[in-house]
Amino acid sequence: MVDFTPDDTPQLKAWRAEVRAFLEEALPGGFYFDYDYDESPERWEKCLAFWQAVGRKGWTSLSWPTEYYGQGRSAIERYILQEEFCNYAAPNYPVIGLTVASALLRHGTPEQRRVHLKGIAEATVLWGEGYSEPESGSDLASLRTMARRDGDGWVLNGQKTLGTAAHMCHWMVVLARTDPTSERHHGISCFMVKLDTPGITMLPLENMADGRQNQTFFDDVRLPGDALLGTEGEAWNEIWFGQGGEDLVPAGSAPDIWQMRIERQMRLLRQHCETTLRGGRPLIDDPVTRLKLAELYSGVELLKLHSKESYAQTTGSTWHAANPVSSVINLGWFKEFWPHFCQTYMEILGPEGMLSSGPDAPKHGHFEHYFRASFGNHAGGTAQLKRMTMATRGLGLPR
Amino acid sequence: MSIDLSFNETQEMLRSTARDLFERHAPLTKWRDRKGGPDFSRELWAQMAKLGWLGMRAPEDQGGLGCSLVDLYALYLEMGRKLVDTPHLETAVIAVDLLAELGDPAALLADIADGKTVVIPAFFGADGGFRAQDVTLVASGSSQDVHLKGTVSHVRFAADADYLLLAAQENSGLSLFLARADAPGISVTPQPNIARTALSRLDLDLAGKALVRLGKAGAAGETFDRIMGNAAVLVSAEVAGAGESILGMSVDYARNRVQFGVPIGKYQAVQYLCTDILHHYRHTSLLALHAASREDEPDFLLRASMAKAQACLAAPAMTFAAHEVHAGIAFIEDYDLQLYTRRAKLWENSYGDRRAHLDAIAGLW
Repeated sequence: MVDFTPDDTPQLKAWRAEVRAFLEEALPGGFYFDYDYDESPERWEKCLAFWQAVGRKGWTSLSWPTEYYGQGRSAIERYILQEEFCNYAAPNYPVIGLTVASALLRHGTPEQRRVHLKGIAEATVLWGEGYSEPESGSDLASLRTMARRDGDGWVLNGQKTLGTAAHMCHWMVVLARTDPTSERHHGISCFMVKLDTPGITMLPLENMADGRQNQTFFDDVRLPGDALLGTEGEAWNEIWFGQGGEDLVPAGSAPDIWQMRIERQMRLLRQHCETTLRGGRPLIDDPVTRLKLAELYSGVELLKLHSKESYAQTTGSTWHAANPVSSVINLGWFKEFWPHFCQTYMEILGPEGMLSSGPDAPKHGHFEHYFRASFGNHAGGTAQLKRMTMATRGLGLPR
Repeated sequence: MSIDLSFNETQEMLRSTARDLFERHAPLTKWRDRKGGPDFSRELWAQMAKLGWLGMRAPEDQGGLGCSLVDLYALYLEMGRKLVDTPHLETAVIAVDLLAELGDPAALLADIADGKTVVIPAFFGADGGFRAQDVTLVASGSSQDVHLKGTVSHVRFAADADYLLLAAQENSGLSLFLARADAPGISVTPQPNIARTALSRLDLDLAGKALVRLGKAGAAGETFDRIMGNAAVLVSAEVAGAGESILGMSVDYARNRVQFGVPIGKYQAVQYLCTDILHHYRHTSLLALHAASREDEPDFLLRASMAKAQACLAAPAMTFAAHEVHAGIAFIEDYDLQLYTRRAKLWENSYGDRRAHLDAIAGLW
């Protein structure tokens, strides 16, 4: 029976209201913060305080098992929680701790879960990513960072790059080759690396949207045996696929807070077009602008529907069930729509769109900043890589 | 169940029955041989009547099946997949909805359901509109003695119609009228077209007893807009259904056609074209399903226009990409793709073109 409503019972409606009430209390008046594109220490601090408050409610780990700091709540409750966070434009959880948690829950040992999940749930321990290397971006399987066995532990050597906000993190998940004779997807393992371990240096890469990414160098870094997450040599299937890199069915789909930033921009854009005069009339009454706004608005609504279809796919309740491409469309389409959205609104704004700050910048420069941020759409895999995945894994075209 | 996008048993049954029926009675080969004939298959029409599909939209207390828009969505996906071309949308959906809601002065509902009577709406000019405000016919005379003089365009299956439904602006708003299709004062000019389907221009000069009013004078606007929303959603479902065929055809070809020693589907340029089709197909099927599920909600017209605006983009984009994948072979009449390309243009321009729907979205949002 076709129904797009997540909260179709009084209990679920009450749950949404509870989430909403918490947000209004925790972030009165809203709080816009994107850790990917913001280096302000005050805002970072406020973001962490917020997520620590979410952690105290037990909501970061809402659907984790109860024996590992979770509440064992349902996928739809998690969906509603996250949808409400999107509606409120709450900041996203920094940085990739939730992905690490999901990998720990699937592939970690009970001891590793006990050690690491609490800090992630409480947002007191932040995790960064150690995937990309200077010569291994889209072709991640060509990575060269090496870990060799040394007694009970490991010695790590190599370099990672483009690590978003890694300088704010305490730990990093690092993909490294453990079998020097291996090639491509085989022989890659995943390590949990404490970033104050001797032998690690980090250099900043300032990105064009005011955020900091990082290069991280590992020189003979000694890791204990339990740094290995999952099966030795199997990280490509266990971790990379599991975090959505090439995965068609990630576990427990929910709306993406980061993607849904776009809805806020849509609201701001509409307000701007209503209040700005162009040629003696409000910009929104210009026939060309009017149709462009309708197109952008429909595109944003479509993204929301794709996240619902993606959820329906993970629960097996879609008439497309035989063709499981919903989640890769959900991810891939956003990567294409986002830059299109920004380019179109810049066209609507005209010269005003260039202004970053000062009294003449529309919406305090948000449009200009968000436009710059849209060049970061490659994070987590380029749109082109998603197309290749769609074509080969989704449609069965030859590799 | 929360967030459930699967069909129920009735809808699955409807789909599989439709798939079987169209496989037997609506082969694509029929289309290829047809060079502009105005007819549709009366045999298929009789089968649809037998299955209850011509009365499926009428409420159960008026002898119908009371089918929801989501039920129809399931059926229209199949119609689109096989390019089924009958006046089902015109007669069994639009006419039935209007007669059931505004009154049935000539008691046509039972005969429509039995397949005996074909009622065709003739509402718009050639400007791509789909709303009450887009109706250009103006009724003159008094409300007791109405005179309708003017032109409507792109009317489907006019030569097969027993009755026409007409819309006209009166002082108080939009009014609807029923007229016998063979009444004097209706002149039919065929409009040969890319889709090789029956389209006509009607020049109307009707008055007095030739026109039977549906409901109250000037009161039809809101109902009319909602029912045009239904039509927009169902055409979008047809585009989605056709998208499934076009995608399948293109992927098969890309996997099997070997050039430079490899299947062309190995080339990213070709993979991009195939994923363009996938995107458009899935965007359209999703937006149309969502709109169908909202038929009784206050945002229905917005959702319907979002679906049709996307379908209007998808129809030409999917067929274009498929032609790029196939190249030479698809330019040949013997190949099926060109049949979809022709029909896609009809869907793109039926019940609101993209401009009209984007304009509606801007007004409703």
